[in-house]
Amino acid sequence: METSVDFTEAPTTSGASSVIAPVITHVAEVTLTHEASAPSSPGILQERSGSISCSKKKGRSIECEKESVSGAVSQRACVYCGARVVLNPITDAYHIVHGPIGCASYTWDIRGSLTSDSEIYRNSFSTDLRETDIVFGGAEKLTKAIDELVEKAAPKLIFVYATCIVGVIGDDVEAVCRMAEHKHGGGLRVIPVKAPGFSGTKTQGYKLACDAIMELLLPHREQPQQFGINILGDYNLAGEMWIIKGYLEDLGIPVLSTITGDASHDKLIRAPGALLNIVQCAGSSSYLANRMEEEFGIPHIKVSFFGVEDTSASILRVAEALGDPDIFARARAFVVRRSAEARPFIEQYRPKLAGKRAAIFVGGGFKAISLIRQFNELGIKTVVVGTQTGKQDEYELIGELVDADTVILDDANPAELEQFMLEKQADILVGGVKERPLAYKLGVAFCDHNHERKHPLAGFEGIESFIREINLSINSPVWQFVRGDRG
Amino acid sequence: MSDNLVNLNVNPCKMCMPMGAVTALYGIRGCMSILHGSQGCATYMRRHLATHFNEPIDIASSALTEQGTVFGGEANLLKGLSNLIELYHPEVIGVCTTCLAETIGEDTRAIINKFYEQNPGLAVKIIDVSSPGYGGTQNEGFFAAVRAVIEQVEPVELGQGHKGDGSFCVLEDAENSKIIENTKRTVPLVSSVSPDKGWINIITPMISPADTRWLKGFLRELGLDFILMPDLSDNLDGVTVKTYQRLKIGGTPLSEVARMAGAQLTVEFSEYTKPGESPAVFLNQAHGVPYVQLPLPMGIRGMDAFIEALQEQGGLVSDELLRARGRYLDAMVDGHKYCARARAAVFGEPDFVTATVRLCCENGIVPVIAATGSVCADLKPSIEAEIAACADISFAEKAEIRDDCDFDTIEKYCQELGANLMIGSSEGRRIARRLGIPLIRCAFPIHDHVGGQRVRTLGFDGSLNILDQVANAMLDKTSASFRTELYQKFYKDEVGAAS
Repeated sequence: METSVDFTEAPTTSGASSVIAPVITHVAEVTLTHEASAPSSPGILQERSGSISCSKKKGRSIECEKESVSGAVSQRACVYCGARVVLNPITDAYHIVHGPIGCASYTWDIRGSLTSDSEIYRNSFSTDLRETDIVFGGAEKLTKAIDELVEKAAPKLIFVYATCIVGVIGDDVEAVCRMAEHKHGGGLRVIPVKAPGFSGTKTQGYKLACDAIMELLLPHREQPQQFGINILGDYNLAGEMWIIKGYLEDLGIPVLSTITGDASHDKLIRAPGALLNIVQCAGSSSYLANRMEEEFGIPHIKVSFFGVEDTSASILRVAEALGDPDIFARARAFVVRRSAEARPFIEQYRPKLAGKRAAIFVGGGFKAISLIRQFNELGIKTVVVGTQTGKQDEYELIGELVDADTVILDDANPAELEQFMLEKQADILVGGVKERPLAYKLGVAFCDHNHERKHPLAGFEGIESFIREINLSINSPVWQFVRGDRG
Repeated sequence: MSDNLVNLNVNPCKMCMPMGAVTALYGIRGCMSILHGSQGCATYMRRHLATHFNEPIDIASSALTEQGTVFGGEANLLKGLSNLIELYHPEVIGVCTTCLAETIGEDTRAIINKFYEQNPGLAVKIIDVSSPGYGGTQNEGFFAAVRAVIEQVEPVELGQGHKGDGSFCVLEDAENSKIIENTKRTVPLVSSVSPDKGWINIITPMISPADTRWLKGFLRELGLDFILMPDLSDNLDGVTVKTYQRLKIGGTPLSEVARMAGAQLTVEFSEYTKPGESPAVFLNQAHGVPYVQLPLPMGIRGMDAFIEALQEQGGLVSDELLRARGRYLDAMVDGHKYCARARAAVFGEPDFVTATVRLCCENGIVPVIAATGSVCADLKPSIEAEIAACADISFAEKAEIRDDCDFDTIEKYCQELGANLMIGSSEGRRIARRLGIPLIRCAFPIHDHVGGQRVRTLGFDGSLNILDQVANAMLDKTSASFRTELYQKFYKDEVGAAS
């Protein structure tokens, strides 16, 4: 075999008693051969160990819903990110990021939420604060920006995100927004989202976004109730909300409002009139569902449209909740038919996939749960499963679904993912774009299951694209060459 | 800021300072970065860098909380440093500030000193970089990190440090009196310097790993010893390996950074760094190293200026290099008529824009828009005359040169000035799609294509890579439309034919 360059680490023998002893015993060296090298060092910080469960024997209860550990290289973003994720799909809203440019730059049109109408949400608006604004304050600049926007673009809805330093420099964003609504009138809504990154975790951002939506909905609470539902927590990634909405409407269940996939100001304000809320992404939208239940008396059920099992169950639960026997009968027939139609496809691919081992690292617990079930359907064992912001009850359910030796982790970092993917010999990782290059470097296949994806994974259509995605990566010919070279 | 909405930046043609800082630190051997700020900054930058370079990107965060913001983030940063050391065992750590850390007035140097006190014998060099998000763009952040590393590494004079056996001597960090461990190591795959011969320093803005590899090969070809700073070539364009290494160990080692003070010349590929920000100026003022600020080596004049500067340092021009130059000139002639149809919108970092504009003007490509997101008042005077001269050939009335510019403004001028081509990062793709014009992706970030790490723009080959893409875009445009266009324009039904 041709000699190629290999960066490996070789431990030295010097020891030291400092707390940071590993540093001194760990000196990088460049070698020019494929000589056996020491394995990478363990990837678990003491402080993180409570958030990791390696076996059923030691119990499945893990620490979660906590702030990330400094220096651990969390895969999470921040409060602002959480808020932006939830609100961004509102297509005709102007999302103004009040702060220095970075936050706007890194969140500009990076998500795959589709629109049937306005494209405004795909633009980035920022007050782009500079040094002088930090010194003298940015409230005036924000006021002018809103005034100008109103004059030139006649918006109906503006969200103003206050990022890290805005509160620190003392800008009263709430006052600016209130004044703007008052000054411009005409039903214009200017809703502040005070989301400094440091003020909690991404989950806190979800909550702020839900509050912002409530702020928009509350003035519209007095409206006649209609036979119809709202879909919460579906962001219409790759048209997924359209798929689900299509099913429901075919069954005779009108969808009044979608929050927030393909939403608009006018469609959103119909939401208080619905009979029922169904919640797809529980992590981001359960709080909103609870608030809508309190304020408008709309009950809610949690659903998941990933995989045959969860999609079927969810459709039946929605139909059942509406209490109309005709709809329920249609739903049952629909589910039976579509499940049967999905079967040959699954059976065709199953031999190529059964026996493989999967690692999952996604945003919320509900998605992870659906993925485990989907993998089970395919005969794939889930060997590692983690989420950024899963909740205790979700982890408990995950613990029941997986094998005794499956690793479960909350807010994992690359070092932990690396260690457990290797230790558990994962064949594929389902995750987000940050994790993709790590998987590839470890010789592990990859399936995108994040907000940037361009293939629908929900509903019966999504089942096929999920299986195709898994197959085309896990069974790609590239691995035989790469793994050969990796020895 | 936008021309349409003067109080807003609409669709940013820039990122923030910490992004540039962490990118530059990827060019330092064995370095890990930690951003002192909210958790999100690190994650966003990791996502941006990972999709461009297709490499695992690990950047730590001090994950400041409400409490840290109110009472100071010292505890967070101290813990962050020790955690990332435990996980990554870095030789170097770059602590970069963010808008938050700077606004609450964090004294990162003092916190780092405290960390050293708490951990006697610590064999990690910790560099602090001031990179407030509101202080500039990724371009300024990049140079800030390069300069901080050079400033904070104690120099070694010529002959002192090199023991001739592949090991480098103990480096004293005067400020902290901490010893960087005397480690025996093989010479890494970066520039190597022999003790008895002079060498030059090469400082680049953010260039692709592939361009970096070209640059190193080119300098070797001319027989020069050099220290390249930073060197992204291995860390951001890795190989498949048997055992994955969490810590990236390509890049410029600190032992070489320490020797930059003894170079015979610094070449800094930037025409816009201000004296207080320029690494070359620092090396000159602190250590008397002469310097020259050159444009990025693109196009015939850019390359000639570079070659000339290298010849003055003893670089030898081979026949092969002359042939490469000749082939480039030959290719310019081959493509000139097609290139002349191009009306380009060039956007990105100031040095990239300047070098690309000159390349365009050399070939009759009219840069009707030259725009940077950075604040850079010197951009216009440095390219205005030559754009005007190029435009004048075909009586193109107007060209727009803008600094502190966003994509909303770029789009406006693309329409007004009839741009038929865009050259820059993939962020131009939305405009390109809306206007139905091609986009040549050759700058960071590239999110919608693979191969960001392999983009070639420097040298004769890199220049030709751009030039060929421009010529071919114009050829494709013509060949896709000329039959229909000419048919519609000139064909008339034959007289007397049945209608």
